[in-house]
Amino acid sequence: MMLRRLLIRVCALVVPGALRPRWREEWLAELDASPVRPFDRRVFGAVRDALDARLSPSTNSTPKAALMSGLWFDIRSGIRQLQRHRGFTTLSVCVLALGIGINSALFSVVYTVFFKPWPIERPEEVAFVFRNQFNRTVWPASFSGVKRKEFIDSNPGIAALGAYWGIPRDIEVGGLTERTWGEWVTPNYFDVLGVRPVAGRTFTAEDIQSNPDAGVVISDALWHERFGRDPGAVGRTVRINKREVPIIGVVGPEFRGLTGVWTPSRWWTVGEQFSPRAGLSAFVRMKPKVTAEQAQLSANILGSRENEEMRKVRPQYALPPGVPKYLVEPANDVRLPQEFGSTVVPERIATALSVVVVMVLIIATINIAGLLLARAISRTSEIATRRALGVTPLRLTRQLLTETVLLTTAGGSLGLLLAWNLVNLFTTLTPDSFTIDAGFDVRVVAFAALVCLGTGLLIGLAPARHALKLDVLSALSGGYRDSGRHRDRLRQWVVVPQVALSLILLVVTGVHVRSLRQVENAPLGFERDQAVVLTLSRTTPEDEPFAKRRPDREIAEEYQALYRTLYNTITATPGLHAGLITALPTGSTSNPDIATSEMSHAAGRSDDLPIQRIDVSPGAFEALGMRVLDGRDFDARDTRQLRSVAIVSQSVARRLWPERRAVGQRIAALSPQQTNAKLDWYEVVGVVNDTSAVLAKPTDPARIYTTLGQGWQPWAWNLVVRGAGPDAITAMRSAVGGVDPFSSVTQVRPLKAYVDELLYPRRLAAAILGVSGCVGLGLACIGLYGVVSFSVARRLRELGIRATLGAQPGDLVRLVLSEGGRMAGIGSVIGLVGGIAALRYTAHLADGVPATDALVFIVVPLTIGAVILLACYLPARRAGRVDPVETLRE
Amino acid sequence: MSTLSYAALFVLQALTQGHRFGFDIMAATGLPSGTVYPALRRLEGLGFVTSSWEGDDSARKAARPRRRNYQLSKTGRGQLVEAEARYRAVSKLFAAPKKA
Repeated sequence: MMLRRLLIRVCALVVPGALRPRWREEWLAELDASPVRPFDRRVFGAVRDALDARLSPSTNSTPKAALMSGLWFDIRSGIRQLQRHRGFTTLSVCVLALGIGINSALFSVVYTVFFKPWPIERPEEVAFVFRNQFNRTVWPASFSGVKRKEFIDSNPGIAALGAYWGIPRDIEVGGLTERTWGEWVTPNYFDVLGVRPVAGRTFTAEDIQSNPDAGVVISDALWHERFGRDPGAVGRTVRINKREVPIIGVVGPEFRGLTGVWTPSRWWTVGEQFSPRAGLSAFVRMKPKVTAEQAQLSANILGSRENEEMRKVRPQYALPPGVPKYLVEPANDVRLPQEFGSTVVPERIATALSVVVVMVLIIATINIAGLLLARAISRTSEIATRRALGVTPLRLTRQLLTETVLLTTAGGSLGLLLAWNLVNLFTTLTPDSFTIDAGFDVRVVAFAALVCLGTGLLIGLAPARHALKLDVLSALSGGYRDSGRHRDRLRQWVVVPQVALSLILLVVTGVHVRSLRQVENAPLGFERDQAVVLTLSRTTPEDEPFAKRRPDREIAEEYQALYRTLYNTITATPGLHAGLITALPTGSTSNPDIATSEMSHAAGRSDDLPIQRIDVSPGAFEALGMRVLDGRDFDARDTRQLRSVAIVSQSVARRLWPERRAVGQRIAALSPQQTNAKLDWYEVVGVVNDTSAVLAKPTDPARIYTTLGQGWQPWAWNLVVRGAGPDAITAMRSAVGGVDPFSSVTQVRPLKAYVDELLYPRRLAAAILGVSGCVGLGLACIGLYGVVSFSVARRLRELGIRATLGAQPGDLVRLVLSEGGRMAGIGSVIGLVGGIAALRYTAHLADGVPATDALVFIVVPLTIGAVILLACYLPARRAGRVDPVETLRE
Repeated sequence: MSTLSYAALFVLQALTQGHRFGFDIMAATGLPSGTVYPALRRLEGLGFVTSSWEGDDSARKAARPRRRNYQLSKTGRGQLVEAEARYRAVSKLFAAPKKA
């Protein structure tokens, strides 16, 4: 009793002062007067009553209070309505949650991967500068200090110019060495980008070569992993390529450098302190309101002046008239700044992905619209009763809208939870080596919620509109019947578009996923399985900037001796295929050399064949699983004392000597910048099969191979070992690490991991497409199920009459199924036509996507048909169980 | 014509059948306390219902505090007749209290 009295007294505090004594006294008197059980519901009703007294217009005279109290009433009434129709509420909340949740997650991922601006200050003002080469390739513009000044001075739209170059280096902290990507930058790098340190400082103008305190700014990831985010890390030292460098600052987790998603930077140093002559890739911050196009115009003037000068001196390296030398590309349009025009996933697939995600959103929206519309029609008699009891149409509208908002809020909250978990799952599954940081983007969730809410509100008005037009007396007397018109409207506007859209979605998804699988399964020309790559590193004190160096010949001889030792070490284990290679075949180069045959040269021509020159040791082809098609592999006989030899890939042989045997021919390769006319000729001793980069482009150069045994200063970063167990790898690792005090193995990874890493974004795209397609189909099925269920419920009377007149349960099931089938049929025809049109449009967007795919066109409609019939069959069974007597009595 | 919710209509019906106290009306209509009291307050505000504290004597006799007594006003009675005409089934929904 005491507790109950206490509860009343506490509740009384909520009640407005004027009413409080009466309220308290009345409640206490009623409790005393009536037999009340310990947990009587009536006592807890006091809480609601007190709240009502606080919010009720009869006790609150201000307009705001009156509005709030009306709202409170509507919310309570809405909750009661939703509780009463649990099936509808559950279905609607699930559709909303799926619609908002999956869309938000997909949008977040698509946005992060393809469209998220760089995490820098006002990214729209920043642009990367690229340079057109005479051979039609485009590279990041590499500027020295003087050139940087000239570029700014000639371009009034540019406020500042910074530069960087991504580079892998061994970084050693506390005895643990790791090969990581970092950047050589200009001292103003962070200032131009507007990236602030979270600890310590970034570089200043004093941090140039004369400053003895060369420092490093480290990433949050490095700070976290190696220093546990200890603020005391600033001031401690790390060893970059065996050189002690003090940490001067740490940047926040969102900034991971400019080298692109493949290579998150973990440290930044001032380039001039490490490599005084290094050319760094330029980026600019434009003045406010200056566009990249305007900056481009000024750059064109400088570019054409330089080009004219080049034409006078070396006309063969001048650009054709009208081709701009410099390209100023807005930073937000560039995903991989070190590779012009490259995207994580081809840009057009990104567009297709966005369209697909939007389609799922449309299906979800139509679905919600359908559910609410069906509900509106089924509430006719309830609305009529309310009208009869004197509820004004305005009030009714407000109540109906409140219900919709409640529904959307519940669905939205669940959707948010779903999106949050999906994005977290995505982040967990993303390989560590990617800088794809899919944050939970609130704007994306807000957008998806807004669309669903907007639809909800819009459709929530449908019953209200219905209520205004309603003939109350006819509806109350039972004379109102659902007319076929409503069912038709539902069918036309709700089911048919959903079926059609999901069919289009699945057809497009199916074809794209299959083509992505073809990309994945395309022969690479090397065997990715069972090969392990050991990353080698070698830094000597002489590599330090400004260090005293021995003559180049002496250093080269040291490398030649080292190579021989290394080669002997790796070939010492019998039965093991191992070889050194300067560049793995998984990637390509944006900086090709050009090759010409001796025949063409003798005829006064140049073949100008773009090629990538790769140095290998004997055995490398075998270790990579490549085949020597003609001639021989390199061997220990190929030394500097003998004539230079090369092995060409099949396509080089075909292009340069289409009608002759390549072996025995001579070939020269030179860099486009090489200006001396003297060519080094190599005799072709073998032909190997073509290899293609994992994300091959049609412009990728063909490959020619030269041997490390004939190199001037031979060194390879990669040692590929095939068919070795973990023990053999460990032994190899220590053996290679021990050949020289300055060399070490910094990383051991399967070759397959390199391939998987490159394929990951495409796999992600395929997964997004697949998920979108399945969700679209799932939603369409829910929609169809809902509409057919609704239709059965409304037609119970008609079905009862049919049953009375002798219709068998099977006939009734068929009747309902045929209705669903008709809708699915109309939707499928539209969907198939749309699917063909969509494929015609999207086929040219991505390489290797066929305009039609018979398998997909057969499998997808059949699957959809089967799933839709199942969705119809479940409610149709109800029609078969109709009891004619019961139905007619009702 | 004023807007009457179902609950308000039931409360008026209960009052006209002689239920005078909050908890009694709850028992008669089956409505929860969180609905009956707000309805009573609203009806009182509209002038359909009047209320007063019961006399000290009767409370003392029953050895309990005074209870709040609700009656249907003249306007309320008219309102009820009008609402019943619109929705006849309401008057048959629950029974009158047993005479002591």
